Amino acid sequence: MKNYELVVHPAEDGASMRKAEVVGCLDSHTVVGFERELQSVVDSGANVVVLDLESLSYISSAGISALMGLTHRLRKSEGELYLLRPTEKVRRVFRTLGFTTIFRIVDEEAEVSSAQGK
Amino acid sequence: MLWILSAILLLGLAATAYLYWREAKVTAQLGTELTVLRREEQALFDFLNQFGETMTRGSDTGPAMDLIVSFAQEATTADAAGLFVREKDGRTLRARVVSGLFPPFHRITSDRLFSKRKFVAEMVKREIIELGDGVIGQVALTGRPLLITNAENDHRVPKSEISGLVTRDVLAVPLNVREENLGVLVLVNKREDPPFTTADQSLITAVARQASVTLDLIRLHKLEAEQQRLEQELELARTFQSLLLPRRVPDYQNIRLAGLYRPALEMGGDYYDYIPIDDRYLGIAVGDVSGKGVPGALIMAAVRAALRAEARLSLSPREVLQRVNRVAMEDTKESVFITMTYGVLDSQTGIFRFCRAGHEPVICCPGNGKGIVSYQPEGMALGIVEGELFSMMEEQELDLSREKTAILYTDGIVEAMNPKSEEYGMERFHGQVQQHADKVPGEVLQAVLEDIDKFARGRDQHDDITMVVVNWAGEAQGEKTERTAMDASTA
Repeated sequence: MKNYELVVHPAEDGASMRKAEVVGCLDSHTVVGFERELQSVVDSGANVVVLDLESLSYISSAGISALMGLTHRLRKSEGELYLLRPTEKVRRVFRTLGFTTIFRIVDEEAEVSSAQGK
Repeated sequence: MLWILSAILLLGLAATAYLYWREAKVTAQLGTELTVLRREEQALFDFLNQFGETMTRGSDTGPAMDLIVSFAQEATTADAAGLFVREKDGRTLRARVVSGLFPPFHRITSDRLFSKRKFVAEMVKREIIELGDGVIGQVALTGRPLLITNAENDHRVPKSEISGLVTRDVLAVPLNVREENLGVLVLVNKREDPPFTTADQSLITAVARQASVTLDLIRLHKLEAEQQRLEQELELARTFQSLLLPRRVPDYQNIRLAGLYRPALEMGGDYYDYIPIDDRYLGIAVGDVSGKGVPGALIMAAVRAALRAEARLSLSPREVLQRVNRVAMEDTKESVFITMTYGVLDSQTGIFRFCRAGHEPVICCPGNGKGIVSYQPEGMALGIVEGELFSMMEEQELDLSREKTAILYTDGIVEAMNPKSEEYGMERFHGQVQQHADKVPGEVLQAVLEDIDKFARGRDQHDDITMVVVNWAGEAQGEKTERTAMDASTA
């Protein structure tokens, strides 16, 4: 009934950056798989994760918790979680929570490389 | 002539003797086969009887698996037998029962001496077999039995590096139920009349079929028990949550109040509270924890206690929420957050001073067909950051004596869904509030709730629904003549 998929892009040699796309909805049911899959990406050595949210149609508080947890974990290893192009609806949820100041939300992938290049 | 007759007679005799001998042989053979079949039938019958008895004694699969292995070993006179069961991940198998001197089907890395039987069994039990790997992994993958009569020359069977452990013949039968494979029953080295025969295979296949159905039933029973445990936990959380809700509506001059909390099937962690500060001031809170079930309810309990304590020490909601945030930071994991709107209502003037910690806006409607005004001061959810970033929280005031009705709510209202997965939405919610704003708070709640249910058309409520309606029953007191809101927007 509920659609959810995480498409993880293959790692480039020697790169600590990984990209993944979330499709569908992130709620208390789908978030379990989402966290597990993303953790394995982090465990494989990525400390910069770019999460494409363009096709994320819905996010519940459980989903936001997962993003928050990942942000904390990555920052501990001096990494970062970038949220790429969230829809207006998802942005509104971030704004309501006041999390636009915590999450790194970007509109272009180029912003990630320039931020990382600093 | 005579010799011809003699020859014919002799031939006739020989033919008769041959026919007799052949019939006798066939009869004897049939008799033996019948005996074998009867013996197998009896064995199978005994097995089923014992198996059934073992099953009625408990919901543990252990004794049943022991019985399957010992029966299969005896019936086929095998030197060793093992039952390999699929792990939860579905991709690997592991031995649950090993009987006799079972030769390891994998290369052994340990250099310890494994001459003793129990060590060999332990070693085999420790092996993790990938699906499709070796004889056992193959049978599990294909779901078809495998009979290897000359194992010493078969590449699928590895040579044992342990002296005295030679694999001569192998019979491996899958435990299948419906389209699914649950494991593999393996028999090694037939003692009498080696090697294993197709008759052994059909007998063990029949046993395996019965065994898998029963093991499957036990598994389903366990799942059901797990489901029951989850439901009990949920029930506990519900009871706990209901204890957190205000038991009575406080009585204040000029103020009419009504609150509603309707939990989703899997409780979402909402709550609301009335905190009487003194005769004049009343604290009102609506919150939502990002965790569900028992953990969510426990966090809410901690936050509720902190808020109740702090509310009595200050009339500034900003100060109160800053202190509650500190508690939330200490008590929760870094990813757990709580959204909350908390405000202090002056029952003499109707001034409601409030803060929004990442929560839904406060909406107001004076009735008489007037529009909705939505108040959304800046503020971050509790439990995530401290210091400057959190202190940017704004405090806002609204004049209830002019606004008449103010509503605090959680996102479970606007995110309620119908069977087409469409959301109830802000617009419809505002429309309902506007339509019923002239009614008393309890009726406003009821009207909104009925409209949500009408919209949902029977779809399960996926998040808690919480709403507090505050209504001014006194005279208009404020000096302001215009309705103002810093971040006001009409629906």
